Amino acid sequence: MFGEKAVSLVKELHRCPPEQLHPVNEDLMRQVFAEMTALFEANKSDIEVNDDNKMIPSIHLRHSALEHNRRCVLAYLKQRLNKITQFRWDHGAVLPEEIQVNMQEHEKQWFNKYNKSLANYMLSLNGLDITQNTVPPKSLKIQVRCLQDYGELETDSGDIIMLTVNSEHYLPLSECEHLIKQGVLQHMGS
Amino acid sequence: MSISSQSLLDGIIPEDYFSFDSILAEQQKIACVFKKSMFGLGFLDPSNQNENLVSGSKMELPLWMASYLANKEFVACELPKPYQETSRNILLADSSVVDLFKQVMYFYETGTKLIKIPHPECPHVSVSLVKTFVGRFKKIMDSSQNCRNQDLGNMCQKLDVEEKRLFEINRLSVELLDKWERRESNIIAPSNLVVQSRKRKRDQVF
Repeated sequence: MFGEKAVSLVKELHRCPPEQLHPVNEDLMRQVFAEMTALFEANKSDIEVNDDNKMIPSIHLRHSALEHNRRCVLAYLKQRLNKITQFRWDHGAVLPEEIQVNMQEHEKQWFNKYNKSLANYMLSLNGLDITQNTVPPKSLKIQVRCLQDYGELETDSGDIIMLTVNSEHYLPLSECEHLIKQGVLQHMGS
Repeated sequence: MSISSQSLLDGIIPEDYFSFDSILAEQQKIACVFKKSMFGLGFLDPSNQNENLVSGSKMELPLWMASYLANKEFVACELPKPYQETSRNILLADSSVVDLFKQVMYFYETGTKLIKIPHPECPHVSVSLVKTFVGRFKKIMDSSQNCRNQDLGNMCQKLDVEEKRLFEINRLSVELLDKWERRESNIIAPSNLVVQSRKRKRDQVF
């Protein structure tokens, strides 16, 4: 039956866990495109030789398959972009290497544009970082423990703090929230 | 956070156009009878030796194709078994014992698409869908909020995809309320995606 390859494309991404991004299945995608070209050509030749209306049902059947294939491919690409958007909010502006290698050139371009428009928007709010303070803050400074050797962190006040494994610090919330999100620091409850 | 494309494309394409669930729900096979002959498409039916699909021949088509062709009156559709009168009567008698997941994975999603196909029994199906949901809803809410120490695997297995999601949302909201009561809700947690991907990395090391 027509459209089965397109659906297996959708199923593949549907099974993929949310924290991962698999590379685009270009081989399967090419097969879907080949099927769509074949459907289109068949419809075109049927319309050209048509002398009475007997071909119309077949043309409609192929057309519905064409539309369905298009929908599956578009949904597949859209879902990938949704995932990448989510990564931007969870990992920050620079994505981890293992995600980047599986992104296509177009997706990287799109990600850069998304970054840019997000930055522009935050600039228009007098530089407010909307990816921060997702939890209403109780105090300006919080106690954190470092979970990995991260290196130096320069605070806004100019101090340089060495973040090494198991060291504990008392830091301004605004400077360490994204590090907590990335899993570098652990928030110690008060 | 998910970005909705609905406002941009409102009215041009249906809002579930990009939805995976909707696409997968439309994979349900529907038995159809061709009212018109399909010339040159005989190869679609493996049991058919003819070059054409002649009118009157039977074939199972996926829902997306069946509904398109039925609206153009090229085929007549039969309801799939879980939506037929016998099954509807079972659902009416006691909907909570039926294993919807086994019958149709996306029972409600497929059902709502199915009733748009011209078929004399469609009004009955739509009533049955609502009644089934109402009948099962209370049990889902109850067990997801109050039975946290019990094994609900058996019961969860019978839920269709949409009901499973509802169950999960409920369970999560109880958990969040619990956290808030223990005053743990203002601790900043690492993002879920980061936690999951780190777990995987550790798996790969060992």
